[in-house]
Amino acid sequence: MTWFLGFPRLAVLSSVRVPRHIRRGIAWPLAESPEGICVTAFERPDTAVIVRQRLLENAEDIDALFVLAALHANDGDVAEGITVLNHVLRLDPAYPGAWRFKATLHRMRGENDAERSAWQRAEAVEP
Amino acid sequence: MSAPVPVRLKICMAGDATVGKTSLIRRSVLDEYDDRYIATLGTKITKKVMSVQDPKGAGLVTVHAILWDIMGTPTLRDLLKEAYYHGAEGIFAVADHTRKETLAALDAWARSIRSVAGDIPTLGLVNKQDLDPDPRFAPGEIEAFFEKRGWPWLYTSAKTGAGVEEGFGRLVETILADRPSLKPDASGDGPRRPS
Repeated sequence: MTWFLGFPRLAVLSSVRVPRHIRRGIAWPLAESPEGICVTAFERPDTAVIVRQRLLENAEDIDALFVLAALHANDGDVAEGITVLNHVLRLDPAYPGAWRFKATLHRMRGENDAERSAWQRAEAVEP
Repeated sequence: MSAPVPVRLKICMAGDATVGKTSLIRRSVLDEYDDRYIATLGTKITKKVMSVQDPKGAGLVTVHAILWDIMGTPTLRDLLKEAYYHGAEGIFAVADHTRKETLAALDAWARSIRSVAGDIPTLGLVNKQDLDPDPRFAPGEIEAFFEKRGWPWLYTSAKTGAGVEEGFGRLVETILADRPSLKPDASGDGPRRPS
């Protein structure tokens, strides 16, 4: 059993919402369109799927963790978003945008002092 | 006498996923192109050092353009807008010549950035010019789109390099011309970024 943020790793990763129809993260030719024109396109997989893949490869992929925090917040679990974001900031206290995002999340929770503190850190890191 | 301190500009790449934002930066900074698609998660920051004509004086000015290559995930755009767009001074609004819907999507991207950074200079880049256009584009539709919004624009190809340097030069010159004064940055660097 491997652990991640204090939870069994797979349990955490499985908390990322994954759409029923998982698309592959590769380029492939689309089927012929109704007009009979064959087109080639890049289909980007769902962001949650990419995050999950990256974290399975490297549980401390900082970019994936940052987006995981955003996915949690976007799903309404702002507290979990802050928890993951704090982990990001422990890994890299100067991660671009992280302090301002933390300020945003604290504001969403009505935590004014924490918001102000995070914003001040952001100003120091990214003036 | 010490060397002139460079001017630092934060520029954000905006646009839907797979329009080629990362490839445009790669072409511009490294003069490289890679066919493989690797989705950007979060943001990648790259510094591009440029020497451009000072629009308010004689001579050249050194610019450190800090390029924020931001993931093209619309569902997280507004949640992350303060994190990414605070302090931005210019926007590359990137659309894909082969996918018409990426052009209309630029409105939402620009709106999000401007809600944080204000009415900053925007340059449209219609990328993948080397490929056949989306047949759903009506003649003159792209020109009309940008003209209506007052955004200068040009076709680019990250693959061939067409239009890329011109695009970066034009946006930087527009930003400098709009600035009240050329305010040098103490370090010339953007925030530290893990490699």
